[in-house]
This record gives sequence, structure tokens and C-alpha cells, in this order.
Amino acid sequence: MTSLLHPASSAGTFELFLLLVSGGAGVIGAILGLGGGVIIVPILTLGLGINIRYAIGASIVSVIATSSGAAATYVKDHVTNIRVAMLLEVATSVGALVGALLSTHLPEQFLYVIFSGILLYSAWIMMKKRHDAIAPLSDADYWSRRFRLSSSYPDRALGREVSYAVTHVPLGFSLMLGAGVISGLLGIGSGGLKVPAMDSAMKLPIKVSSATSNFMIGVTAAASAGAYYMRGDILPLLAAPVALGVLAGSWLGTHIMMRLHSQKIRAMFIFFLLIIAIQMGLRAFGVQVR
Amino acid sequence: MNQTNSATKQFRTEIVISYVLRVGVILCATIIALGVLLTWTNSKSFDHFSEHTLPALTSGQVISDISFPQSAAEFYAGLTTLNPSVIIAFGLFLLILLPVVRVALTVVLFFLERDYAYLSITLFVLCVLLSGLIFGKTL
Repeated sequence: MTSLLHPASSAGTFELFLLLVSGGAGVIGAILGLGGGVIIVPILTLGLGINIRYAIGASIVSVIATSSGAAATYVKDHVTNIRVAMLLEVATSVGALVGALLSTHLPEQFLYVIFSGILLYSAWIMMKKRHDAIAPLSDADYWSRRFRLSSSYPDRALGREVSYAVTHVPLGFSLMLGAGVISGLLGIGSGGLKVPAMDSAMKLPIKVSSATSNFMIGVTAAASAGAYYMRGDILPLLAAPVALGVLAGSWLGTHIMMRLHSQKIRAMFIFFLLIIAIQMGLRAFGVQVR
Repeated sequence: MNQTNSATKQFRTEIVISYVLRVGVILCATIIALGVLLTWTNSKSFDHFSEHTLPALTSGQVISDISFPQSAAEFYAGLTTLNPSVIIAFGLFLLILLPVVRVALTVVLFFLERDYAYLSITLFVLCVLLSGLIFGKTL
């Protein structure tokens, strides 16, 4: 522990290490529509020995920073589908509030098993869907037409504008309600559930799903961030390098993502879904990542 | 309402939202970076962090003597005296507020567009969000 190379050996290396790790989390979070908690929490707890309370506080900051940092670019470049985001935020915000109210009445182990199972199932579904077949506009359902959800986005990897239809809105809405309940119950972001719900159920292109998930996760996290702050879980000198690193990383990540081919993003996403599933599975057996 | 008109409006909404997000993100990052810089140049707060807070933090302890501003008065007092951790906390506070501001902004934009379906949707989300914030405080 006294080694000069250890991140905690001096305040300088500690802050620099946090800045770099958070930068990486920001890049990955922005590409995949996740908040980066999957990377930040284990590194802070297992790697640096920091109390889980502060690690979660820092990961909440990371989620919000990824969301706003990535959205600034994705919204401007018309990758985010704002209408889909606003409609689905009704489901996630109500779900999160219900989840927060329920939290004390259900055993956590059981929830982690369920969550882990859902993630594995999502990974399986996304793996089966090898090709990024865009649904034809005629596939748009009643709700999709009613709320004018179908749109288009510029795909830089393909070098053209891609038009897409949005389908199965009631299914997607229900899945988002579930994702909201899970984030309220477990106090975690649920980008890992939002992206598959949009990609596999509503047939949005993976890039639009990721950008739209990115847009949404900040709102859910902001709702609980106030409580974490008042409890003193958000330490300024821990959260500051995390916020700065993630903001820079997410900016970089958006530019990488827009140039990546959809298949690569999908493969990366499935890989990270499996990592989250393993983390949540371990928590179910009482292995708190600390 | 014709197609081009609607497309231009959607475009304008996106430009306004992304502009506000970008300005917000840069503002928060600047304030937080300023706070970090002040911590490093202020030997008293730097020594306290490196000799006291950091060892406790990396050995999994809960920091008991951490002070963070909890009211507008405490923020004001800390900001006017350039207290480094208050400046960082203020930047983080603005960062947390940014998604809420973004939802409030969409409410205004949909109102200006007279898009009443989306106005009610965003207004509903804003209400749930604010009730969550108020509820969260008493948790």
C-alpha cells in the first residue's frame, strides 16, 4: 500500500488516477448509453478501498455527467430521439418513484437475482438480433403515429441519413416502467435495461437507443441525487475529478460512437451487459463489491 | 401544419436544448475545476485532504468531519470567501440540477410550439421529478 505507484500514495496520483478512470467510464458510458457506475463503483471500492456509500455517491455524479455531457452532442447532431425520451421518461420517473416507495418491503437478494436474470435475457435477445434491420415506416404502431415518434439520424459510419420507424410502444413503455422500478428499488441507473428495451422491443437503431438512453438516465439519477447529497455521500474532492473526467470522456465518447459501426456498438453493449449481470449476481450472494 | 414547418420546429427545439446543455456543462466543469485548483493552491485545505481525509477514505472509513454546504446561506458564505470545497459542491449542485433544468426547458419549448400532447407529457415528468426531489429530502 505504500508503493509510490499505488493510486492512493499521494493526493496527486489519487486525483489523477480518478480523472483517468472517470474519463474511460465517460467514453464507454457515452458510447453505450450507460451511466458508468459499472466501472466507477468496482474501481473505487475494490481498487481504492473506498466505502461503498461514497462510491455510489460518485457514481450518481458520473451518471449525471455522462448524461448531460453526451446529450449536448447527441441532441445537436439529431441522434437522440427527444420525443421517445420524453414519452418514456413518464414511465421511468413514475417507476422510480414507485420503486423508492416499495424499497423497504422486498428482500434485496431476490431483487438482484431478478435483475441479473433480466440482464442475461436482454443480452441473449440482443445477441440473437445480429443484423441491424431497420423497421419499415409502415410498421409504426398507433401510438408511434399518435406521438410522431418515427424519425431519422445521420449515421457517419454509413455516411448517410437513416430513417427509422418506432414500433411496439406499449411494450417499450411497460419495460421502461419496470426499468424505473428497478432503479428506484436498488438505487442504480438502468441504462442496461433502457437500451435493450428501445433496441429490441421498439426497434430503434442501436445508436439512437444509446443516445436516447443517455439523455434519459440523467433525469432518473437527478431525482435521487438530492437525497445522496443531503446524506453527505457526495464528497467534493472525490466527486470533482470524477465529474471532470466523465465530462471530458463523454464528449470524446460521443465522437467515437457516431463513427462506429452499429454491429461493434452492439457487441460492446452485450459484453458490458454480461459484466453488469455478473456484478449484480455477486451482490445477490452477498458479495458486495467493496 | 405542414411537414417542413414541423421539422424546422423540432430542429429549433434540439438546438436550444443542446445549447443549454453545452453551456451548463462547461459552466459546471469550470466551477468544479476552479474549486480543485483552489484546493491545490491552498496549503491548509490541501494538507488536510492529503494527510487526513485521503488515508481515511482509502481505508474504507466513513468521513465524520466532512463539512458540506446544505443551505443557500452556507453556499453564499462559502462562495464569497472562496472556500474550495464549497465551490466544488456548488459546481456539483449545478451539475445535478442540469437534467431538471433540461426537463423544465422542454416544457417551455413544447408550450411555445403549442404541442399540447408533449406539453402535458413533459409537465407530468417535471412534477414527478420535483416530487421525487422533495420526497427524497425527507428520506
